Amino acid sequence: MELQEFKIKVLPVKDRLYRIALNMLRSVHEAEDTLQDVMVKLWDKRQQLDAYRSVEALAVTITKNHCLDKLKSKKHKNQLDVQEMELDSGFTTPYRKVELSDSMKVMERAFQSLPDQQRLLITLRDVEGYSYEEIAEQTGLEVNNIRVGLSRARKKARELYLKIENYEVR
Amino acid sequence: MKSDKEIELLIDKYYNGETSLEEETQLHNFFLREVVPDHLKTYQDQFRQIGMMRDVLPEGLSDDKLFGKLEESLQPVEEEKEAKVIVMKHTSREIWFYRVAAAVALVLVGYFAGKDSVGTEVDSLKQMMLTEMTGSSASGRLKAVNYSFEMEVVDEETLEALQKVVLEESNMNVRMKGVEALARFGNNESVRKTLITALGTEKEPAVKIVLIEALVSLKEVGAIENLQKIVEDDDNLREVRDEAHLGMFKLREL
Repeated sequence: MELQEFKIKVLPVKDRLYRIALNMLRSVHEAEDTLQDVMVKLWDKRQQLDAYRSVEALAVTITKNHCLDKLKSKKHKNQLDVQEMELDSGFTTPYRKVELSDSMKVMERAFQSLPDQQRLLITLRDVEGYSYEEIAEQTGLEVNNIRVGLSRARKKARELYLKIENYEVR
Repeated sequence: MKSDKEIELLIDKYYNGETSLEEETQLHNFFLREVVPDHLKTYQDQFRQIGMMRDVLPEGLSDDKLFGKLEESLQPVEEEKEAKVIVMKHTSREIWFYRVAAAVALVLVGYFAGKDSVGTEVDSLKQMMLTEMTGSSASGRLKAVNYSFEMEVVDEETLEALQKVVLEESNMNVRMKGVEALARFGNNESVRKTLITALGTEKEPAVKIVLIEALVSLKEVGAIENLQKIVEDDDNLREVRDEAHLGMFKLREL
């Protein structure tokens, strides 16, 4: 596969891969850096691209693995604690293009403070809209486990959100 | 549009992980409304936030930047491949033959060109010296003799010219210098003979002394006869006779 052909195949997935990396790593800089590494790894595996049902599935898998590896490294060991994140604490959010209401900021932080695996499922399903089958291929998880994990992630996000909202109001 | 009741049911399904993609889209659309029933308001932020996350684009990540590391990793590999190809060419026998031939040709050309030009240069300088040595100016002749001191090796022509100076030069200073110049080539038999002859014919005391010194340092035993004559000739200056006597003594002792 020529480099140009590779680029043409990969570019349509760029935006999705970026959002996955960003939601996982919660840093624009790290997400951009990761995507560049993902391109190198994807190129190395280009022989396998035909075997995969789509370039997208392999690309998402590589991105996911790369992010989880990064999160496992000591730098990310300390989980973000939603309780410690006060409003306007200067916690830089990568998402905000428009000024959010305070309650929206809380929701944003609730998502960001979810465990890695739950954040991944929310991203793949709710943000990117992948089917359970696609997520199963990308993550290697059973569809049933994906449903359970997704359920927990959605409930947990709401739970964190309500916790802070009630705390702030009171 | 779904009723509030249906939405409530969908919300339950959603949190249990049981909604289809289509149902999830219905929920998202419902919460995009400006006015949402109070009892559903706490759910609105979750769907709106996800809606915002969907709109995020990699604005700081151009395509060039995206493939930056990949292009970088490919660059050295390509260069290496190219280099290898060139190396293969170089190791082929034919190329080696031409390279060696070219090197030899270069060395030969350099050698002969260099030799020729250096030779020509020395030649022209020698000719200048020889011309000067027989010139009308005593200082010019002296300069020419002095120039011979810069030569490590001299040819017959130059030696003959210097011998002529020692025997026939009219200016004693030039003759004296000529003796010194000739003495450097004392290994030459004709030079020694010339110096011995000069010792017999030389009239100037200073030149005689220089000749005696030169022949003694050359350990020329053949000069003893002439030295004996000087010692015995009362016309000679005392200094010259003493020098000759000392020279005879040294040459006999050695």
